[in-house]
Amino acid sequence: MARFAMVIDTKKCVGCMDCVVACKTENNVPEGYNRDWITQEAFGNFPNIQLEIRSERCNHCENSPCVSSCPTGASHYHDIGGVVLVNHDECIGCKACVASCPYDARFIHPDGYADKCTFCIHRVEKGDKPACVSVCPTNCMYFGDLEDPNSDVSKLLKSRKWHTLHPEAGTNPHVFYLT
Amino acid sequence: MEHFMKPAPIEKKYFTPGVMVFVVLAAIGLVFLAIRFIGGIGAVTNLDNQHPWGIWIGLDVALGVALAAGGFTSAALGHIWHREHYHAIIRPALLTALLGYTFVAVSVAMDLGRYYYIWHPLIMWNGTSVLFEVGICVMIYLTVLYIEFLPIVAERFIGRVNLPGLLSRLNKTVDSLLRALDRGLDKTMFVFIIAGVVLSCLHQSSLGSLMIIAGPKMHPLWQTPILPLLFLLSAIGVGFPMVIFESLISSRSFGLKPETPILTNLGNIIGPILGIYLAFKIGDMVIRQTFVYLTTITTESVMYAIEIVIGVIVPLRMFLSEQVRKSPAGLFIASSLVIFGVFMNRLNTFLVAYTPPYEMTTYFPSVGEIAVTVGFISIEVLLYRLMVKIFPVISHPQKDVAPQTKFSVRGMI
Repeated sequence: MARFAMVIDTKKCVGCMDCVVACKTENNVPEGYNRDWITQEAFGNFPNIQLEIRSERCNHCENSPCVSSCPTGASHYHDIGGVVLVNHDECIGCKACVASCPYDARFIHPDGYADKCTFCIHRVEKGDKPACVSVCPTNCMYFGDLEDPNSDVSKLLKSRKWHTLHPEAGTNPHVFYLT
Repeated sequence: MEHFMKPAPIEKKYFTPGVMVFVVLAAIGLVFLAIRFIGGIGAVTNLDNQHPWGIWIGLDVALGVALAAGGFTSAALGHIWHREHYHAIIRPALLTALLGYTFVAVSVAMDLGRYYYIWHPLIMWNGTSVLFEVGICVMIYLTVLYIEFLPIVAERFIGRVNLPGLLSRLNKTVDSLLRALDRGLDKTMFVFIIAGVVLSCLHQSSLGSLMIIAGPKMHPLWQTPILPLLFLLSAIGVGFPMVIFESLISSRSFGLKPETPILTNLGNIIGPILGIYLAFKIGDMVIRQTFVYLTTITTESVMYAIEIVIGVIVPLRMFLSEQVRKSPAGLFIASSLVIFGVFMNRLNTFLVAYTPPYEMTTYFPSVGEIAVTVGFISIEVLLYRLMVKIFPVISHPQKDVAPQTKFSVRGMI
């Protein structure tokens, strides 16, 4: 069983937003909505200030509040890689998942259903990388299988310091940020 | 001589200047509702992808369900604890619950991205979902409420079925159908009454869990593991004040004498229930040490203080005073304050406490959202007035009635 994850090197990311553009193009995300986005966070006090630039998206959590709060089961874990997906035909647009997501990763598509990052599962199933990973000009994003000890993501997580977003939410996210 | 109360249709003019105001408000609400269906939710509301739920969920649904709690609390009091003298208030409370829940269901549908898929949870079950539990529970309870109301319909029309035109041939069939229904329900009603009370307890508390799932987005003053219990206790607490509020308004509107003795007795129960609610609310705050958030003046701390002081402590003190409980005016003010307190609680829990991580604009309900909410309340008031004119809901004192006759319990256990 694969367990897909994304590792993003915040030391390399320059916040160019190429991932955002690639995602919108690849997935036909309607205007005004985003499946991924860039955030900048400053830490510390002058003169020891650090700036972290992150490309954020759905964290495809192991313990997803959106999946457990979905009344119809439209939000589900995909058989391949434990990716969290939304079955658009089952979704009723109740927005419980939007309210429960600690990362604000979801939005309501103009057609009325909840939508979000899919880890480009349609590309991954064919052996390609997600659109955002494949276009990154600084190669700061890595995609792979956490259960394979020889994958890029497993090696990076072993060798580098990393953190996840909102660990206090107890969701066990699968997007990791190298620091 | 003691008066015996018997429910009968009200014989008053339907349209008064006050009713016309409600008609106008309802019409404005319906216009905005039409825009919601033409242009989508975004065309009418100030909701965005950071603020998925606004007043349509926070007030129309969560507050609507809480204020309809009078239905199950008075059914429990009258039918399960057999406090016979409360029978006069059961039917009005049942009708309020019926209309309230109907509009809760309508409001949920309005707020869904795909309202035409509202039936999906019926066949696509997800047992871990709080909203699934709320949805299924409200659907079943709404059915139970309509079944509980059927004996009143039967009572009104048995022997008086008079269909117009060609349909008049069916008069006899409909009449015998009503009689069979009435007999059948007479024997099985206890099942529905108990089911109604159980289902109410379930979804009243689940509505609290609805905001627990928002996790770290919620302000610590309201984000507590006992939120479901607090929602259930506040719903039980607001049930009887709502019955008193509505009873006093309708007796004034229809020119009847207020049923003060019954309402005073109800008032006796409210104090202790509010006390338990307050104890849990304060106890939770002390145990989780969230009182530190009250030491600075922020929107949250001010709203919390208003909710607790004006909405719980003041009416609690009022309901403990015998003078207040014996006067209709005192009962009215105290009940209004309890209703205000629960209004503030739901508003705070669903809107004030909720802060998304990437907030671009703060949420304030749009004119359209408020108009639809006010419109729905107006339609409920108009329907209530219509229903009490058609069906025997509100009890009148009867002079020439033998004491043995239990009119108000017909069709119930």
